[in-house]
This record gives sequence, structure tokens and C-alpha cells, in this order.
Amino acid sequence: MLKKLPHICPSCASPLRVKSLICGNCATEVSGEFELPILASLQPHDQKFILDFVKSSGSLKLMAEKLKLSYPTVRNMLDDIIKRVEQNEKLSNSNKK
Amino acid sequence: MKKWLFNPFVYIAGVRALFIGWGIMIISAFIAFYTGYHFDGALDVHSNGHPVHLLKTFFELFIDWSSLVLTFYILGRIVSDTSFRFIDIAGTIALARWPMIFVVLVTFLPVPGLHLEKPSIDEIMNMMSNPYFILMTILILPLIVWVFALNYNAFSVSTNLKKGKAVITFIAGIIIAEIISKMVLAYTLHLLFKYIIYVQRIFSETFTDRIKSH
Repeated sequence: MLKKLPHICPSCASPLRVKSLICGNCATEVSGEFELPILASLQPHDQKFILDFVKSSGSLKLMAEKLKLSYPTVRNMLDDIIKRVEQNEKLSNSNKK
Repeated sequence: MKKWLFNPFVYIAGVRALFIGWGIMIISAFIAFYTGYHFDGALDVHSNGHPVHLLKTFFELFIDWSSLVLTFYILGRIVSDTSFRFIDIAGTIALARWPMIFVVLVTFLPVPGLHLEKPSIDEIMNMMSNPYFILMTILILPLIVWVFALNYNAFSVSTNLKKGKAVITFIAGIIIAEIISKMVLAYTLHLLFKYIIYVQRIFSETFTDRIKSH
């Protein structure tokens, strides 16, 4: 089962930070306090959409052909992701203050 | 299946939707011409008691469609935060009219008195008690709901408007488009007909002159 990366605190709804990272090869652990990148805070399907969009050279027409959806539907999907990214940015900025 | 019936715009929009929509609109214009019905408003189908000129039916369809497209485009530009394409509104609104073909097919039902221009109360009562009239009403009502649902989804998908904002703008758009189409048809149809009669007269005169000269 693919685990979903949590990015919001279940207790206070603030953005979560990374405390430690581990090497998959030698198990070396790095501790500290790292911020999650904005893209990591998106849902897996949104992340996949962004990756496909980049691979399609940013062409919504190509994306629409690939996904077998209409152009405005794909554009609306992108608009919704932009809104979510902006919301996450706001949340992360307000927590820094 | 449900998505294809009520929101095909998720899959089809733009030029493709425009061609399919207009193709179906042209077929429905021919059927309406045959049954004596015409499209005298943004989403209207009526009979006024006499056969309508085929060119008038096409002209009405064009005015109905363009009044909806222009109204929704302008309202969308004002209300929506996203940048959308004109061709998407034009195409999806054309495709959203496709159940109109069923509406004009239903008019084949032989309802007595339906084609009367000014029916008397007795004629209206007689018409309303006719089983074909009842069947026509039962068939047309869901078709009208379907056309409205399709138009709403066409507008919502094209402009990326959702929920309350989309509903209010859509209702306002339908009312504005209905007023615009009625006004344009009222003020321009007689001019179009003067032109058609003028062209027909010139053609017939030239034809008679040729016969006489032979």
C-alpha cells in the first residue's frame, strides 16, 4: 500500500515539517527541521497531473489528448491545482510569521 | 453514461463541439420547418399557426445560439477568475442544444388545435384533454430540463464557475439571452424577409424575362 505523506497537523491543522530523513541504502539518519516543498503538500493525483503537464511541455492541448478530456476540463483541473497551491503557500507563510 | 448525457463537455468542447452542435441544429431546423415549428427565443420552440420559411428557421437558430454565447461569454468574463476561450463557450452551447432535435420530433404528434394562431377557450380545452397533448407534455418536460442542465454544464465547464456563483450567473444569462434574442428577432426578421422577397422577385423576373425572350 502506498502511504500518503501527511502535511497537515491532525491536532492543530498547521503545516507539518520534516524532522528526520533516512538513507534507504545505509540507514544513515539526518535530523533537523526541514520544510516540506509546496508540491509535496498536494494530493498524489495533483502531483501526477503536474508531472504530466511538465512532460507535455506545458501544453494543455496535449494533456487533453492524453487524458481523453476536453481542453476546458483540463484547464479547470490546472486552475483548481493553482488555487490549492496558493492556499498552501498562504498557510505556510502565515505559520512562518 | 450519466456524464455523457448531462455533461459531455468534460470530453468534447471547442471546434468539435461546435461542428456536432451545429450539425444537429441544422437537422432540427429541417424537422421544425417540416412540422411548422420555429425557434422564437434563446431556448424556445413554438408554433404560430402557419408554416415558417426555412431561412427564417435557420436565422432564428443563429440568433438564439449567438445571443446565448455572447451573454455567457460576457458574464463569464466579468464573474470568472479564469481565462477561458470563446470557442469553448461557442462550441459547448451549440452542443448543449442537441436534445432540441427530440423536442421537434415530439411535435410530430397529431394534437388538434396546436397550430391555431388564436385558439378559442373551447379549442384550448379540447386540445388540453387530447391524449396526444398529454403525451407531448410528458415527453417535452424532461427534454426541457435536459436542455437546461446541458446549458448549465456547458457554461460551468467553459468558464470554470461552480456552485452558487455559477447558478446565479447562469439564470441571469438565460434571462438576458432570452430578452436579447426576442428583441433581435422582432427587429430584424422583417428586414430579412423583405430581403428574401426582394431576391426572390429579382430571380423570378429574370426567369420570366428569359422565357419571354425565347
